[in-house]
Amino acid sequence: MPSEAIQVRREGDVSIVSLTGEHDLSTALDLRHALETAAGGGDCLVVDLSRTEFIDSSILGEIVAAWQGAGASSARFALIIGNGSGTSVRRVLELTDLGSALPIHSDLAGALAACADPAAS
Amino acid sequence: MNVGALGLELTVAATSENVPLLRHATRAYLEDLGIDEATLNDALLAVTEACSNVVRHAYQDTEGKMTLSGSAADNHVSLVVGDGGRGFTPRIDSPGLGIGIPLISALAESVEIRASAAGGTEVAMTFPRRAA
Repeated sequence: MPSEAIQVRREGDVSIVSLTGEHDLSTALDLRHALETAAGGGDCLVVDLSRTEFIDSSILGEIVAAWQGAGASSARFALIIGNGSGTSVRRVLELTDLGSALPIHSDLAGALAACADPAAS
Repeated sequence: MNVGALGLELTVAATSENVPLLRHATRAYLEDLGIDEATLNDALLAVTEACSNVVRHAYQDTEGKMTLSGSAADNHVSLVVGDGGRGFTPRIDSPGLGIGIPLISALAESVEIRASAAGGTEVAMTFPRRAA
């Protein structure tokens, strides 16, 4: 797998988009396509940043758009930020205050549990 | 690319593919200066945002150049991202979140957006120079 990768996979009704390495405007369009593909594939969309070393506002914008799209289609959404997430991942969420709005989980288990619970935010 | 003992100068095509290239050049420059990790990470994000703004906004339907320069003083590091494009013109149809400039302002110690000698725009950012 290249150092910068976007992977889409399914686990039951959950579509998981995983970002590995550094992502910015150069990969934003690829991410958009991946999120669009994943959004059409299940009841819950999970974006996994647990192995993401770097993101900027262009990537965050695609994630936010996917989150809003999930809400509009009554699908659930979860974002994973874990110990392996790079400093910029937390920093850009901190500075934009989106960290308090987005449904963030520290690992895949937490995200999948939220997907399985219709009452989860 | 020109990297002097305390300076950095790099000119590349203003394409999205070159955004990570300039970020990596910034990392190498700042690591060489021994900048602390927190400041380094903030600078990398700020430079990335500034470069993305060049790619998105500086040139309309034309190709252009993007420049990165760096200089260091005792207490701070200056990083300047510039272009020879159409000048700083806000777009009401700006793609993405449109928060690049506010992010840069939050990340950098100081930010100056000014007209460049090439007729475009420069985003000049300073960061504190603390040892790692």
